Amino acid sequence: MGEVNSNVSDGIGEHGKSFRVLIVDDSAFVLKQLQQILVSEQYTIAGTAENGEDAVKLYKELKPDLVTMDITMPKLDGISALQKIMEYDKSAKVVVVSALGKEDMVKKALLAGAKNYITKPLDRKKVLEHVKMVLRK
Amino acid sequence: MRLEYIKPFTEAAYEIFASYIVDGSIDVSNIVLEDGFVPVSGVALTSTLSGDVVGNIVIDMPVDPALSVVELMGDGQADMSNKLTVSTLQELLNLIAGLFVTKLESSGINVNISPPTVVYGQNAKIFTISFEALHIKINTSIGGFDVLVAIESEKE
Repeated sequence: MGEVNSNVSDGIGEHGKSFRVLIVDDSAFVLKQLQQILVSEQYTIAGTAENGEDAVKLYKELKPDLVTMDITMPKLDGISALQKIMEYDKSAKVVVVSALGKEDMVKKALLAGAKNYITKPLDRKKVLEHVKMVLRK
Repeated sequence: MRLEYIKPFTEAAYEIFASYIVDGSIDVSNIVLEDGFVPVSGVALTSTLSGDVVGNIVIDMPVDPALSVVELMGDGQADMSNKLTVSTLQELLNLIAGLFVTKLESSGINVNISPPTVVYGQNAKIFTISFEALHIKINTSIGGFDVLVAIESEKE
């Protein structure tokens, strides 16, 4: 009987390819943190965006497996960008990442189509758990 | 300035600082009301609140503690001419303000925060929206931070 390989990183899908993630945040610090966390589990960073407008453009170009989306950003906020992405692709997987843990904000994000919500400060384990949960559904 | 804003703010500031300065040295003290302008002692972070409560939050610190907290939050050498250092400082205020706003929501107060601004230099002053501000001194092993919270209820 073959052995199950339990050493596969979270970022590698059943097809053996790395999941591609688009990271959206206007903070260079958060972009770097999320990149480090995801790359450590062999996710591929498909691209990064610093505002909602660029996020929507890049989503259409790159068609990532998952998007992490900040809320408070210039040009176009994260909830509006999320809505535009969901209009374009109903199957889009977006995880909201925000310092705002307000219940009404979480509800708004989930109603707009977010698959999950992570509150900052970022905890490596929680980020990986939430991302894995969304991608494995 | 209503007393119900003080506890959630001091708790938020303490929790965020404590998540990075882990040697237990954080002391939140000297909470006083005073005129709402801040002489910048090196680096100041400011954000605006809107919604049920309006006003400003300012965190002021000399350059050394600013660079130290950046190094604790990230993993590189901090330098005020570096975009990542400035972004890390913005995120520090974003985290404190975000947690403060989250705590206010549990009292039925709905508030939004603006992306933080960083002011770097000396001989500058930041004026807050109201001339009455809560001044909180946060002493830590990496230096002192002065926090001013100048906010008023829109409902009054």
